[in-house]
Amino acid sequence: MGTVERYIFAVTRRLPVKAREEVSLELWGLIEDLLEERVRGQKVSENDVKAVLLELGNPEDLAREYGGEPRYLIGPTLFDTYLTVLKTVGSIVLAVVQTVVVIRAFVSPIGIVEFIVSFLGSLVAASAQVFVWVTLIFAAVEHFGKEELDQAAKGEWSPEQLPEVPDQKRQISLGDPMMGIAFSVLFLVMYTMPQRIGVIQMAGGTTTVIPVVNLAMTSYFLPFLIGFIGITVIKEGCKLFWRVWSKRLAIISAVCNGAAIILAYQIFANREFWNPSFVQQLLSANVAPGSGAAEILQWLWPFVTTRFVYVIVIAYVIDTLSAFYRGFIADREG
Amino acid sequence: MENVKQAEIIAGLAQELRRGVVVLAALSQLDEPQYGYSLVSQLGEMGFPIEAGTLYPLFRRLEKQGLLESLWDTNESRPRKYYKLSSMGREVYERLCEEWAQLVDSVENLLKGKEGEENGNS
Repeated sequence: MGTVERYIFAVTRRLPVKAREEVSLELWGLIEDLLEERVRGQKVSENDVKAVLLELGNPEDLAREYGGEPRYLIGPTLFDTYLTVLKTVGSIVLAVVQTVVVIRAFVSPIGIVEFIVSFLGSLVAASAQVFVWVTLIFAAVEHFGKEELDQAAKGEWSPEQLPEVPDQKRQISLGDPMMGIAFSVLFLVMYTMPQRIGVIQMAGGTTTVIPVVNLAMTSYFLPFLIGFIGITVIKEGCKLFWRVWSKRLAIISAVCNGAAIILAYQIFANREFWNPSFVQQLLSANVAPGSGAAEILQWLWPFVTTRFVYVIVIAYVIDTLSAFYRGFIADREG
Repeated sequence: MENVKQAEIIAGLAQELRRGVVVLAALSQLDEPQYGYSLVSQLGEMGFPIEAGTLYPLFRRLEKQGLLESLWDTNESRPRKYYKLSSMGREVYERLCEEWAQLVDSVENLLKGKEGEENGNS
């Protein structure tokens, strides 16, 4: 009877736990009936058993007839979203990782071979991480949110839900958002090593750097800057997710840009952000000889630092206007 | 080669036709409690052969939907699960019978109409 047992196990192991016992009892009964019918009082041989099981068919098919547990990690309802999220998160992480690796190479110079190895290594490691985490999260949603998902899939469908046909004019390229993320991260990483970012003075074999920002205040400004960069990354991430301009994306961009402008004011408009003794340090390092230079610097430094925030505000306003143009007006034209 | 393919297509389509009626066939025999194998033999004798591998899972599904009631009989040599129509199952069965009658009517009309046309042409 070993074969029968194995057959029943092959069916029931694919079924939900609570159904297993009953189904296996029923199948036992069925197979015994079939065997009895076949041998009619004779002794049951292994060949009879095989014939009966062949008649019942592949245990996988039988389990499927019983409506066994789903044999997939991520079902058809979620699969499209899964792919989109995977691509989006993947491109964000790749942009970030590339930037960080390049910066690291600049800060502590390494050989070209070493650089390529660490670059490729980081890309592979980051891709694997993204793949594992996104897949795990989606598998969990599939597993625990099954009923809600089925409900949503069954829900009323309306023609408004139809996705836009991609329009060349409103298509978002892959490169722009990735560049945006890369530069934002570059900016953030630079701020985490402010003593290296500034005017570099090389004299008598020693290198001194006159930092642009106020070293004493970096721990105060860092959370703001992380928020500022984070918002930008979220915005670019949304672009990567949808890849097409829409009203929704325009509004998200505007909200993100608004928040970014507020944070930018908190950071760059604050005089404490900038190195207060930049000009003195510059003069004492003899970077700019001559008395005229001192006067120009005394005027130029506060002029530039107080207006830096405007550059950012203007950039974000232009970005918002362009988002609105592409999300709303190009929509009407299309 | 073409004929083999054609025969395959016909077999597949015929199976699909039958599959839709399996529920109706099973429900029709469940006024009295039956266990799976007894129904398999009975339907086979009555000219509607059905595989045990189809019927057993179908019983479970119909029970889950509340159309069938079940009872384990442990008095016999081997325990058997008997199924019979629940009151809801009876109602559903009667409605399905009406649906079936309508379907037969309209399909027959379609087929006859086609025949009439052919006769008219010839």
